[in-house]
Amino acid sequence: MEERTLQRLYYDRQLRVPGWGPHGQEILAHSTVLVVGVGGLGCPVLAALVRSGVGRLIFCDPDTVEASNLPRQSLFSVADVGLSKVQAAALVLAGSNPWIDLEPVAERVTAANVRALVEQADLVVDGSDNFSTKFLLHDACRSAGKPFVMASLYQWEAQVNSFDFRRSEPGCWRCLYQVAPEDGCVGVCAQVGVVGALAGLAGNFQALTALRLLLGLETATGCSTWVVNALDPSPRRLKWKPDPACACARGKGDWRWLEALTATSLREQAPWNLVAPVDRQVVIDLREPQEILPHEWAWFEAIGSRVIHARWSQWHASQPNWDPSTTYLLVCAHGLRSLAAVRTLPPSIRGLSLTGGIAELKDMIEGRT
Amino acid sequence: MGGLLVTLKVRYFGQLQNEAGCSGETLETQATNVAELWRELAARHGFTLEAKLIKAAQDDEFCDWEAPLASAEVVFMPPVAGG
Repeated sequence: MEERTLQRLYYDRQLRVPGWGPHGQEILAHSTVLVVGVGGLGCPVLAALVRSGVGRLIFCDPDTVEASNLPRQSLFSVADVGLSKVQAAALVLAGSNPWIDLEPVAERVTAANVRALVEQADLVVDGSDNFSTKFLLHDACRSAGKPFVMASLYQWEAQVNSFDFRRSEPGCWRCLYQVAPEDGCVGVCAQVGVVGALAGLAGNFQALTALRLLLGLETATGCSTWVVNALDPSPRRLKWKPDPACACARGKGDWRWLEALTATSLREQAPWNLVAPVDRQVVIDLREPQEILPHEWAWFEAIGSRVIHARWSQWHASQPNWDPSTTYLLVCAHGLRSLAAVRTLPPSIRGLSLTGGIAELKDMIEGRT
Repeated sequence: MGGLLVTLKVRYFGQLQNEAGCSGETLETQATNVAELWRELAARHGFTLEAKLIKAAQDDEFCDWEAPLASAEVVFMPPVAGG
């Protein structure tokens, strides 16, 4: 079949939908969407936006596929375990729609790269798994004036928010949370668990919201959270009022907060190759027992480090006996819990969080990066 | 505390649901505002999350902790971050 005919037939059913049509398809073809995190949320978001015909998709995730991802991360198969998430996703997505541009970025989104990434996009979707990234993206979209669709999961529960920062009226997530909650304060998926089918529901809800915003069909939900608990499947919409004292009331274009963030970030985390020998004196593994493989501690012991197990779920109740003459390297699966823990250390204790966690270290040791 | 005894519904989300062992309950309380109600429930269920993390809502709208109890249902929702 001629490619042009194939392409027209591919989009046929959605072209018939009122509010979409050839004009809507044209808008999508000229749109760029940034998706941050290719996990439980990012997979269904990407699958839906790619097949809808969004012209350019930039997607970021520094991680590799793990077996425990597979029940909810629908772009990956068993054979992908150990491969880069964005590369594995790009292969599958290219097969499902060859007429769009895919830009995989195997990087973590940080204060250093967030502005450049967000400014390239017409809309940003958050599929990250930590508060720091979510708030960073939210604040960057607010400054850049880009629509932002975010979601988070917890066991059977999903919360979804969307903000159309193209519009000038006040109201944002900071009106509700002036200060971002600390990462790890309510548990991460590895610790508390998550239901795979729920990730599909929330991710597709995000994709629908993104399409609605791109097509100009309806405004964002603004100051309200859509929250669903799959054990009690009547969703709720909880509203809040814009805070006149919030930065959103001053409108877009103000990036001073980002400069301050980049300038003041202390050395509280480092990747393995920048961890000094002294920082390796005592390694604290914050993971839950079922996450730890026996050979992993040997990596640290081989370079003379002692390893202590102090699980993050009990961190606030019981911590190691701190020795001010020792340097501690805190580790977990991906560096989220360890970063949260390092911020709770007594002021006299020197500690560092391993960026990217055991997952990144494993890739380095096994020569994948 | 010391207000009149009122009957209301409470709805829990996230970790609070695990700790309370239910998604919600109907109860009688003498609490007059949201903060008093929270302290009463936190003591009963042994909630471990700090109050500053939790958002409370009445009539499906988030409210201050000092807001008087004015609706038939109060929602307590911690933030979640999984992805």
